Amino acid sequence: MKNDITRYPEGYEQLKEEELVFLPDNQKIKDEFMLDILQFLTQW
Amino acid sequence: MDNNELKKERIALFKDTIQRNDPKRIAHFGNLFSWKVLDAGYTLTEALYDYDVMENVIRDTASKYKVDVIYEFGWRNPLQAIESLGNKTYLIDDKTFTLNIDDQCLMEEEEYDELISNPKKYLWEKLIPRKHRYLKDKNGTEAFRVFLKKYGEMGEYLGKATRIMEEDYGLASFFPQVVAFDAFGNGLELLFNSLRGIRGLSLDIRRFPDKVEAAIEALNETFVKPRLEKAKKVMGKGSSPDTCVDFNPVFFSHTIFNNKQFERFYWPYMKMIADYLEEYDKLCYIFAEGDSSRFYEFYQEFPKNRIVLHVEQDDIFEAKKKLPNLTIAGGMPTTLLGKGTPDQCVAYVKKLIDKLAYDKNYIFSEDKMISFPYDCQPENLKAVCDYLYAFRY
Repeated sequence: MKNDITRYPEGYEQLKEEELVFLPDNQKIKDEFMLDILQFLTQW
Repeated sequence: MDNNELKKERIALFKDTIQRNDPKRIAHFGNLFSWKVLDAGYTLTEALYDYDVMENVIRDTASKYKVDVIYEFGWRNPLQAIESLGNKTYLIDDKTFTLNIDDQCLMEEEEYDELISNPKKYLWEKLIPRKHRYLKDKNGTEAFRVFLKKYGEMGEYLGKATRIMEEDYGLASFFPQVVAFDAFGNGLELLFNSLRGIRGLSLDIRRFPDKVEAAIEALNETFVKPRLEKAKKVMGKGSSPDTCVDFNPVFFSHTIFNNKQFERFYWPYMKMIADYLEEYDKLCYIFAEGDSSRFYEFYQEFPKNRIVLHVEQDDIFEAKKKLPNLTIAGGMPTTLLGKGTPDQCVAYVKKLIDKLAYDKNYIFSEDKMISFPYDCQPENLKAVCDYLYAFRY
């Protein structure tokens, strides 16, 4: 599916690069934030 | 004493107790969960879907009860964030004031190999869309945006609530947020609470223990180790001056293990944490659900004066005797808080002080997370708090 954001790594990376606009433009910060999201959504 | 001084005093109280540094009174870890919503005059629906209401609940609790920490301040049930993605795991009944969470078994047993080979890929492609089904829709990106907004609102509320507790009431923050998710986020607890469920994991550890062990390791590599490395770098050595403790794991899954299984599946993680605490001079508060007395031979190996063990169903007096290396917390029965009188409750507090605090190394708390209407009567909790707050060694 073209816009399937639940594909990994494509969808995951797309969201990380395009949707986390409120974060500083810093790859490490974005990586850590997405890892938090991954765990939050797994956990809850 | 202003609220900032009061907050610092409370933080020092926890640290001095754990490190046996002559605390002047007994710290009270307020183990107050959803009960406080009812006590403040709200329904669960009202509080869990409106952060202004939850703020009122925290203010109400902080005003009425002289605890040193309000452990749960609105983080426990993040319904607004997860329901924005279609997750309907939580079932609220406002008439009976109950909140039930389905035992989650969303990972199939034949999926262990996928999880082990690439945890991020498995969780993102398989597990998470089963729980948060809107992500799979053709408007998944839009659903994620809505979730991010709700996630951000939750973060803003939690920050605000922390400031309110500290600045308006002089309460202590409990542990640094940099390692917050690790509280429930080790591989074993994720398998138990979120992936395979109680029944599934209980069977898995007998049918294919090697895969369970490999899955725990893969999840720990993904989530725990990066955060631990970050904590080492960001927080450095020494206990944080801004919080009571540095780390706060919550143990649920140990309840299904015998000693041999515990040694294999849980002890490596605990040992890793214990080594971190010792090497980086940190303090830790473990909440161990259920009864963990059969694991005391392991707990006896924990470093001295660094770890609190909050026991839920263990005989706390036996725990005190058998674990001299740890600070024991808990002890106040919710059965008594719910059904006794204020005098009976205070008499029990005196017994706890007599039997557990003779060496100034005890943290008072309610044994269970106070959640349901019958867990506690307000006049009982008030009497307990007032007596304890006035007590001096």
